[in-house]
Amino acid sequence: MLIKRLQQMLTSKILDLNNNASSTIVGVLISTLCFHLPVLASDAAVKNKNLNVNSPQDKQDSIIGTSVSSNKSELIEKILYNSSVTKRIESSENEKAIALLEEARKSYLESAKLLEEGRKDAADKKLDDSLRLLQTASSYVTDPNREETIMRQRYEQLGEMFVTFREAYDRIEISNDIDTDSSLDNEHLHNLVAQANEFERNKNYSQAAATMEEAVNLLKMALSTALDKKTIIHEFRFDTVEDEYRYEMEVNQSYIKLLKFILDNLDRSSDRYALIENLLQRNDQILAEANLHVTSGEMKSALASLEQGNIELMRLIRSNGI
Amino acid sequence: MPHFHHQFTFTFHKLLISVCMALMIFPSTGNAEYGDVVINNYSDAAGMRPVIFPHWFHRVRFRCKVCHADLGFKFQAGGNKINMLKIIDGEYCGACHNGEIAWSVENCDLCHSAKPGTPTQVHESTLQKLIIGGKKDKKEAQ
Amino acid sequence: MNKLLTTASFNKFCLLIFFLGLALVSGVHISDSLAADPNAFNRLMKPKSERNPPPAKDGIHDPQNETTFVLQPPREQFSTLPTGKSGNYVDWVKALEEGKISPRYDLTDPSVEPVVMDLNIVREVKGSMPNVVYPHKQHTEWLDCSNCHPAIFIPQKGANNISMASIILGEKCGVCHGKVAFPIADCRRCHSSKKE
Repeated sequence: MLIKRLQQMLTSKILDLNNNASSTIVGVLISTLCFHLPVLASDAAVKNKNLNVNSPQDKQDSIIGTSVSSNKSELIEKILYNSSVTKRIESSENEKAIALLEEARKSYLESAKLLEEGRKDAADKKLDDSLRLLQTASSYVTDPNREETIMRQRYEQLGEMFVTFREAYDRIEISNDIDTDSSLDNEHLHNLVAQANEFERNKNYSQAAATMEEAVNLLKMALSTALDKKTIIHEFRFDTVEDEYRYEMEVNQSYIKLLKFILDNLDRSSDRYALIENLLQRNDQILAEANLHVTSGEMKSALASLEQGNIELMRLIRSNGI
Repeated sequence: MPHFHHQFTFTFHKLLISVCMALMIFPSTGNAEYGDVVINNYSDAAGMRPVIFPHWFHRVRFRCKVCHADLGFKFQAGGNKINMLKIIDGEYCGACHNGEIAWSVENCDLCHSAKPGTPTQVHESTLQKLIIGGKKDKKEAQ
Repeated sequence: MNKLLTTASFNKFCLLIFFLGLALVSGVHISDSLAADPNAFNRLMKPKSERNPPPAKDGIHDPQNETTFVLQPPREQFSTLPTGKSGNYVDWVKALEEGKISPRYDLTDPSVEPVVMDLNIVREVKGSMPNVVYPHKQHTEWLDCSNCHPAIFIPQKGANNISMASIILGEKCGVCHGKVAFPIADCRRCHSSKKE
């Protein structure tokens, strides 16, 4: 299509200028133009604010155009006559919304008629009207169940956050290096949580969420005041050999998960498939060896062999470009 | 004059060929913007182009938190099971694309803009590169 | 005479364009074979010409779709933003800090400001890589606490095991980094604190 446009442009320009000495310049101009053509086209369309640019003369486009609008009208028919949204609007007492839904249906029927007459562009416009009307209608009648679910989930999430941040705050309060300077009103916080729980018991989820949010915000503020411009260092050290062994095991499992993920997306006949299978087999050996040490109670040797195995595995993964 | 015109059309054809070839610099695949999300849960089956969500365009206007905390979008391409009814009903994209904050649902092609058959993905993501590397291997092996 | 000269020069010009086109097309083939390189994952740097193409040329948008040409080309938006080394080749954090963009923190109310927490977490790592510095500040500018805590990270020392393999698989930091936030190949942006 682009090329066709270009062709037209080229011919018109060249015939226009005929055999003029400046044809070379025209050539340069045209070649620059064609590099920028998509950008120009988009600019023009944006300026026009005409989002449904239709060029009925273009065969290819009209095929796509029809397929889109027939899908569109199918979808709109389904939604207008058989969907939870329209049922909700109909069973509501909101006259405005019901009137809008009726209008939307009218628009849809008009568009179907226009499409039969072959007036695709006009039909499209009616379909668009219908969609817009429906969207506005649905915004007038909110789904009470959905609202409740959202608020309940919000309340639960906030509750979880409250517990997490409360624990975090208590931990830093215990550790002496950070001064919490009692900026947190514990009694107020306690009351807020009690209130939120009370609202939840009475199934007033929106109030429950709002109150819980207030509590979480207090905690957030206290935490960010206490930790402002601080640095917390998570050292790489372990209290026990068992802890370090557990860490190495998790590292090992993450490597295996990565290798298996790649394997799942590879063809069996690929060279890399065999390579990764070999790596996985090697890892089984490493784990078996480490496990042998664990069962005989030699945690230090177990850790050493697992650690060594992990280093080997990582090196192989990297050197094989995985 | 007619003689010249003949020559001219000849060179014109050459020019056209070179222009066409220059136009072929369209990169074949894999140049879309980092973070562009293709969503193809239902589109292909419904005969629509899959949806492309451009993160870069939206993050200039809203912080991540607005969609991912307030509107409930999970951090997973295709993981939100969004359909047109939900959008019309004001959920997910419909929270903004309602003709008030952003343009409304009737502009199908603005979102449904991917090449048909493009699978759900986060474009340029690490995972996608791992998989594409594997698929390329597949072709070589065959 | 004059006419002949023009034709000759025009001919030359056409040839020039032809070879230019040829060179460019073969250039595409070179970069195609690079993309198939098994090591491309963390070693390939995209040439500047292939960065941020307009939708119609980006390989996933359908150029048959007229409205593809209506969509804003990324370069137009990025032209005023600070450049970055990878991803969108935009430094999003800097763009926000410098006020080049002012994305809303609330869907409808533009006056809502984020609750920014200025706390750094330094994670010592095994091996020779520098330690990781995680700045809450830059993250809380964009995100809500609930986006990460407690579902992805438990705010407690030693409670989160993070390995590069899991990040590559899209877990932990990889939920955003390597998808939308700066890519994983940008090692030193996280591993930024030298070991003593």
